[in-house]
Amino acid sequence: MFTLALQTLRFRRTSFVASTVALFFGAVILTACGGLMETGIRHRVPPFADVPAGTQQAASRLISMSAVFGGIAAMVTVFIVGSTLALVVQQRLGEMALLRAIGTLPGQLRRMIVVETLVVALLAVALALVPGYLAGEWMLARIAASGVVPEGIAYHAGWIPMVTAAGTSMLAALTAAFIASRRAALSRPADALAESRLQHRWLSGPRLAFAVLCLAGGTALAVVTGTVMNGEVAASTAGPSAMLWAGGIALLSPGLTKVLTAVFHRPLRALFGLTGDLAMDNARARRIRIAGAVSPVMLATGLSTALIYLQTTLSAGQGGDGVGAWVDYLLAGSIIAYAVISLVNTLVVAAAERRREFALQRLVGATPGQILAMTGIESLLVTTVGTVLGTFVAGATLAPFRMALDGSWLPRGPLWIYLSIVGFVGALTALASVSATGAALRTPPAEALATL
Amino acid sequence: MTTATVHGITDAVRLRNVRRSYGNERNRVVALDDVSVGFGRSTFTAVMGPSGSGKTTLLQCAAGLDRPDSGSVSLDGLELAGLSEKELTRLRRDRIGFVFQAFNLLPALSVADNVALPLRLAGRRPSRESVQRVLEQVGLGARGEHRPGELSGGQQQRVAIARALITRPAVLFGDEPTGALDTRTAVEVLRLLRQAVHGDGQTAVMVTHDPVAASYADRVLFLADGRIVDELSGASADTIAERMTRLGAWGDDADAPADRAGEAAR
Repeated sequence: MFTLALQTLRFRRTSFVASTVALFFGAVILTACGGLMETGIRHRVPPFADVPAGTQQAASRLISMSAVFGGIAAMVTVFIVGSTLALVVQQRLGEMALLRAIGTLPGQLRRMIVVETLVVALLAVALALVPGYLAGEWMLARIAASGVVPEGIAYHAGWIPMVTAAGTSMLAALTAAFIASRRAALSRPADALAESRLQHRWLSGPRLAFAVLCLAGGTALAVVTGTVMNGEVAASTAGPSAMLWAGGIALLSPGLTKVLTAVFHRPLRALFGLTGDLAMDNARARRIRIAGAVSPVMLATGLSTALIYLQTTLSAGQGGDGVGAWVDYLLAGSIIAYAVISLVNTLVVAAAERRREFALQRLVGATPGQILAMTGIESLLVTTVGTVLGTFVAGATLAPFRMALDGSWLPRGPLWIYLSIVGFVGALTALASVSATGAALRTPPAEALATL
Repeated sequence: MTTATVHGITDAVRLRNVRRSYGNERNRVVALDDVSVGFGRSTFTAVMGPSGSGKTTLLQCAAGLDRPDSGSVSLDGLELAGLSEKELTRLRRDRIGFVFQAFNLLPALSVADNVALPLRLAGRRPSRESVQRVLEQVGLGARGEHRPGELSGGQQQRVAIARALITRPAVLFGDEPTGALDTRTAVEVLRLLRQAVHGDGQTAVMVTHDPVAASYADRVLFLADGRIVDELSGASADTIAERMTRLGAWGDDADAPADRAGEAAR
């Protein structure tokens, strides 16, 4: 299986690009956090700490910040790499079915996927160490410049944080591979052979269990935030509750997408006529794929809105803590970056997959313009559904937080931040799907049908 | 060549009273309706029937890819019903060869690696010579280092046959193996299958809807509505086509409700 894994990687290099980029990005953040943590420890813990008390206090804030940031980065890496790998597996379901039919054991299939991921992860992590070191240095300089830690703290990142960050990144990658390989390995060959290219079943026992856990955890934290906590400390439960809400909703996204698609069916059809009708039919038939694009939109709008408005609400109230603001803004930024990788990857893969379908539509008389319009409406649907879910996540996080602060429901802060997040993600969705469709349409339809 | 004559295991594959249906209570499709049939060793059998007659289900049940709702399937004297999914997988790897209509090969592997795959999966490392021998048997001795994408459709099917033959399986199953080929290339593939049966003593079962393809088999079974309705031996393509036409009329004629009602009541 080892040879097969290596050959597959060589043959399908482009399919693994998104997973590699996501892993690289995750490893950079983890290495930077490792560096910041060692810097903090060296200015805090006795054998090294020959520094004034003020510096020691700043150093402990640095430690807790890098721990929180690193932990969340590792979680998000598992999630995003898992979804990009699952897409690579999905693209190869025919291949997996063939392998099962000719006698590949489920364990062998899983090992193949894990080996593929391991090789990709080694590459990504090796490339990430130096940029990660530099990113940590840069972050410390920014934090120092904003006056949160004294200038006297010197950046120190030795081999220990490097090895730890590399190990954590590899572990995240392997966890992701293990999750992604599950479906391929458990499928029965006859089902897999017969399965049309459309995926219908999505809800598995573990998935439902995790979703329920996430949503229950999110609700519990929201209740705690709104009732027990007050003032600044409320941010420490509000942040994690946003993560849990987003995780739970991402796990249930195919079902939620179905419901919301039905809600938006009439207005979109009324607005766009036949093209709208076709787009909605597609969306219903391909709801697992649509949900795959809805999730990163939801993550980007939901989490970054929640994290940014947590800080604006806080500073409008009583002036928050600088390090906390830093963590939240960095997190919001990196979550958006992650979501962009995942979103663009999902949309590009989806458009490439539909080459044949587009060719058929053109042969029965659809113009390229009509097909582009159709995918445009689909991406509008993706943005709308993702924004609705994301706004829910942000609202569920921010409302109890503001309650804890001063009893109101609405977050404080300029509205343009929310609008520009939604606008940016929406524009990106439209751009990625329309340009990928445009690329798919460049092949003459008869040729596209013949080669696939 | 195996010459087992012990009573009861002379057939390479034997299906007894096999039933298989799909769908839920309200929307049930009976794919196989009490089918009993044996496939003798060193014989080449074609299974024919209109779309939806249960051909592919029959093949998948016989090959351990699908499990019947009731009835039994034995392969090489081994009862499949008691086997776990893992044991069935090993059985397919070691005792069964497959050739599907299309997408038979892994695009990432070379032709030689594709052929060696079943043995590699079993943890064995086949010698270069043994792979080369099978490739020559299918007339592709010089193509071992090519990728499947560099071969024509017919050549790809021949590679699939080589992969199926390398384990010397008890049965070779073909699901429309010539369905995606032009007539001339199809003939090459069919001759190869025939040669494997009559020259090397392999057993082959092929599902097809092409009377010409079926005429290369020793025996043709006709399936309609999940039942075996007829059988021909050594028939010509014309005879088979003629039988198929009547089968189609019998199976698909929506204008004869009385006939269908009678059939359902039986």
